[in-house]
This record gives sequence, structure tokens and C-alpha cells, in this order.
Amino acid sequence: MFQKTSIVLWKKMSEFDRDGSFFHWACGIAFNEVRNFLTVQRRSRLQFDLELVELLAQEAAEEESLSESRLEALRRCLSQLSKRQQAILQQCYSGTESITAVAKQLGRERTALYKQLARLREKLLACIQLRLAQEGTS
Amino acid sequence: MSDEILQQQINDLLNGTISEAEHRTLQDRLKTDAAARHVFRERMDLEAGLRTLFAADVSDQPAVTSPKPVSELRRPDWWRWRVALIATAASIVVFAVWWTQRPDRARPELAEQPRQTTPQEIQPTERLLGRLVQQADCVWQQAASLQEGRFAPGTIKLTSGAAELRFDSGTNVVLNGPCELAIETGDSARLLAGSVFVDVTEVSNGFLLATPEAQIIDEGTHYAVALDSQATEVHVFDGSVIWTPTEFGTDFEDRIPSGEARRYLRGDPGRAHRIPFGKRQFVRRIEEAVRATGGGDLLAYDGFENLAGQLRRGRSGFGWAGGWESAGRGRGSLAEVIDAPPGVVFGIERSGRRLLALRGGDSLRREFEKPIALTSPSTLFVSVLVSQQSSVDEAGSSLQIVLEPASDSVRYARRHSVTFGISSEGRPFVNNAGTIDESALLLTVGEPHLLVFRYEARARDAVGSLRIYQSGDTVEPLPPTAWTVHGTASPGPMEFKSLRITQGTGSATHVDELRIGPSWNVVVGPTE
Repeated sequence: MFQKTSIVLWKKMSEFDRDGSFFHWACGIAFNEVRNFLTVQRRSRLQFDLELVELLAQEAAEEESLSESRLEALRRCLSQLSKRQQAILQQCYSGTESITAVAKQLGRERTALYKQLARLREKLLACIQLRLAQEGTS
Repeated sequence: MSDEILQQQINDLLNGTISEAEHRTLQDRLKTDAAARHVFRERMDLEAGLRTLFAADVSDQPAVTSPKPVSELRRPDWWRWRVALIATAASIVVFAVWWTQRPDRARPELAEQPRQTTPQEIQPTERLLGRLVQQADCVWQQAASLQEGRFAPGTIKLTSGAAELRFDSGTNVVLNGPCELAIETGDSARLLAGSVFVDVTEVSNGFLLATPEAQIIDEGTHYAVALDSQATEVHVFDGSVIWTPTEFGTDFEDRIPSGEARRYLRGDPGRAHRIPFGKRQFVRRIEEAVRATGGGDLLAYDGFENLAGQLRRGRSGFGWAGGWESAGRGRGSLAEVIDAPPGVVFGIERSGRRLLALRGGDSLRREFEKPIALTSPSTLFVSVLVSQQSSVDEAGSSLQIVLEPASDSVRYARRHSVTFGISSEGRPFVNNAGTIDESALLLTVGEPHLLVFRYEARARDAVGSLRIYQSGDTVEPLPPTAWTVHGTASPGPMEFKSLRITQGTGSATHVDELRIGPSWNVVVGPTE
């Protein structure tokens, strides 16, 4: 979904009115993609229903600047991690390999990698929250 | 619903291990709780942000072993940045779906496990994470999160003794007092003081133990951790663990393999000091603590805590050569192990414990680690908790606990077995090598009874006696002068190789805390 949404956004970039809100325009496109995806995947067992997806999308749009701040804070927090920790995140989040494959490459159990990822996320979340609080953004 | 639960559900969602019920609960909460949605969006922003930053230049990423430093993940031009940003926003709403549909999603083992029923006494907002399965000589200083044998997130302090926590996620943690442990989630805890032994079983998805200066990630393992004022020691008995200091930016990771031990100074957790393996004595299994309680003299013990399932067959107790086996004609499943009713019985805390539930016709045998050989004169004691579950007074519904002699001759073994138990009429009896003595006492169905059997081997013969304690009775600290059943002396065997428990077809009985030892106080001594 992430990749497909990005591609659609690129393709429709010419339709964007530069005087308008890029965020709201793009969110609309993303929401349509999600809706289409959910329709296709309707038979899947676990997915949020459209009511909740709409609610989350609406509130996400209202938090545009906060999301931007979080991303910027994340960039800084990442730089505080060790190179090894950054490498693990990069492997897991590059989107090219499954967690199982990354765990195999790192020579560790998949569950152990999940645990380490969870702790790294916790660290990053705490760091982001601290930064935003210091900036008065949160 | 606490934030801990919410975080766990989001984690499960991201890992693809969320159950259908939890997914529904999460969705319902998100629909009605704005604060929860805030937390959710924060997490999704993080996930999306990580994907955005690390996926931005994925096409030209080199091998995974040489990652591009974050400092080099430069902000792209305006349009790329905007796309990244909007992809982030899009991800907020699609991430949950994407993750639950991703191809490498593993079937969640934990998610499919049935949840334990929440006892009424515990607030519905508290998440029950497991059970206190055994304890020995425990003095608790703080045990608020322990209720009715179950535990919820919170800190517990054990002043002395040993206790075993069994997480529903499949990890067993033995606390060795004095010890202070903060239980955080269903698969993580923080050791604040003292020492613990951790057994991450084969059904677990892993366990994370935090210390003041690091996190210990298991890789399918048995390990022990001990804190003192200066340092932390880690001993790995099986598998391996990864030690990672928690200090931000520390680029140190230490894998400790099986059979090795490390010491890390509190002020310098990034440097490992090899120490002799096994130098410290950890309580690895609660049975060892029970053995210690018996002064080390217990010959055999079974609390029936681990009998359920194929995986643990034969693992419960100590002093046995192997596991329980069917002594009947069939080779079907063994008797059930079920939860014991809460409460204290004859000084034994039953909350959170398990017991052996014998159905009509069940017959189990277990061989001793070494045949129990008696000299003349000497005495052997057997104690066991018993509760009849169904009406008796019909033929073939007795409970027999049989000490089987060591002999290659089946005929001899059968004729010279020493048996005690409860007859079909509900009366205690002793059968000493074919000579039967019975008491007039009628035991009450449904009530717990403590049966203590004494077998005295004398110069020319042997005699068996049985003492029955009923609910409310006080167990004497010394052997009683009066016995419920005093058997007739007869030439009895001097060596026993196994113990058999046979339930007649017409009734059912609960059996627990089986102890065999050379003296009274060893088999009836306090376990708490």
C-alpha cells in the first residue's frame, strides 16, 4: 500500500494545485487507495472497518504539522542510535526483506529480532516525545 | 484498559501476531477513545517515518552489513519530501492493514492460545499475564500484583524463598529471594534486585528481561541473572542470549552462548567480563527449592505442575527415572492435569497450582530414579493429597497407591506390592503384600485429605501404617502415636522400583503433592 500510494501520488502530481494544501490533496488520494485496498481485501480476516479508517484519516489530516514535527524529531533521534542499531532498523524497514530474512542474516532468532525492534521503537518514541515537549510541539 | 494493553495490542498488530479478539477490542477502543487514537497515530507515524527514511534510497542501498548512516539520509528535494510526508500520512491509515496482510506474516502462536478466565477479584482493567505456579518458603514483601494465584503487571518483592511465575506467553521465571521483579508485559519484565532463572520454553515467542543497565534478549534458552550493588551477572545454561546496554547510542552487543557467564559492571555495561560459569547457585526449578525444603532428603516428589501435554511429559518433580506412563492395558492419554482449587490445605498454598485429576480406570506408573532399597530396620514415608470427586460405594472404585517391588518376576511384584489408599466403600486401607487392613473411618467425598503412609522394614517382616488428616486437622510435627490404619506385619519387600496410582472405574479422584522420603518431617514438612 505504501509503495502503491507513493506511485499514484507521483503519477497524479500534475493534477495538484500548488496553491492548495498538498497534504489534504494527497491524503484524499491515499484514502481512496486504502478504500480500494479494503474492498479488494474484504474477505481478509483482520482489518479495521471503514468507519475507523475514516476517523483515523480525518484526525491524521488535522495533525499534519504534528506528523511533520514527529518525522523531523525521528530523524534526529535516529542519529543518536548506534550504527549497529541504525543498521538493524534499516534492514527491517527498507521494505526489501522480510523480518525472517533479516533475522537469518543477523544470525539471530526472529522473535529476538522482534524484541529488539520493539525496544528500539520504545527508545525512539521516548526520544521523539522528549524533543517535541522541549519544542512545545506536542 | 491500560496503555500497556494498548501498546501491546499495537505491537501485536505491527508484528502480525494479534488475535481476532484482540483486533476487535483494539478497533472498538480506537473508535471510542480519542487518547488511544492519539497513541495509535503516534506509533503509526513512527512506523511510517522509519519506512519513509529507510526506504527513500533503497534502490541504491549497499549490502545490509554496511548501512547508510542516518546522518546521510539527507532531506530530499521539496517534491520528494512532500511525497515522503504524504506517504507517512497514508501509512497512518493503511499501516495496520498492510502489516496484517503482509506476505511474511507468521501465524501467531500466542494469538491462538485461549485466554485465561479473569478471576472476579481482579479488576477488569488489569491484564492477567500468568500464574504463580509454585512457591517454597516464600516471604513476600510486596505482592499486590499476585491475586488468586494469577499475576498482573506490577512489582513484586520476595524477601526469601523461591517462587515460580509462569507467563501465559510460555516463559517461566523462578524468583530466588531476596528478589524484586517488575512485571511489565506478557513477555517482558525488569529485574530490580536479586536473581532470577528464566526458562523460555519451546512454546514461547521469546522473553525480554531488562536490568538497570541493559536488556537481555533470549534466543530460546535457559539463563539466570543476578544483580548486586556493583554489577550484573548472566549465566546461560542453554541456547544463547544477547546483552544490549540501554544507554542511548551504545554500540555494544554481547551474545552469550550456552555454558558461559558474564559480569557487567553497572557503570560500564558495554564491557563484558568473563566469569566462571555456574559459580552462582540459581534455583533453576522450583522442585529444587522443594527438595531443599525437605532438607535434601526427599527421595522423590511430584507436584504435578508440568504433566499436561506431550512436551512436558516426564518433566515434573524429581527423583524419577522418567515420566509417568500408563500402567493399564491401553497406551492412551495420561490422566489430566487441572487447576487446583485456591486456598491453603494442610499448610500448602493451592492457589495457582495444578493437580492430577484421575478418571475412572486411569492407572499410572513412574519408576524411581534409583530403586529405593531399605535396610533393616528402616522406614519409608509417602504422603499425598487426595480428594475424592465422585460417589463411591460401588465395586471397583477404589484408589490404590502402590509401591512396587524391584523384581523381574511380574508374579512376585504383583503379590508383594505394598498398597495404601481408599477402598470402594470410601475407607482408608493398607495392603501389605496381600494382607489387607481397613479403617472404619468413612472419608467425605469432595473434601481434601492428606494421606501419610509409613512402611517400617524390620528384621523379619515389615508393617505399613496409614494416617489420614481431614480438613481442619493439624498435622503433627512428629510421627503420631495413633494411626488411622495400622497394618498387619508380613514379610514385605525391601526394595521398591516404582510407584503406581490406580483409580477404580467407578470414581474419580484428585491427587497432588506426592512425596516420598525416609522420615516424617521430610514428607509432611511445611512447603511455604
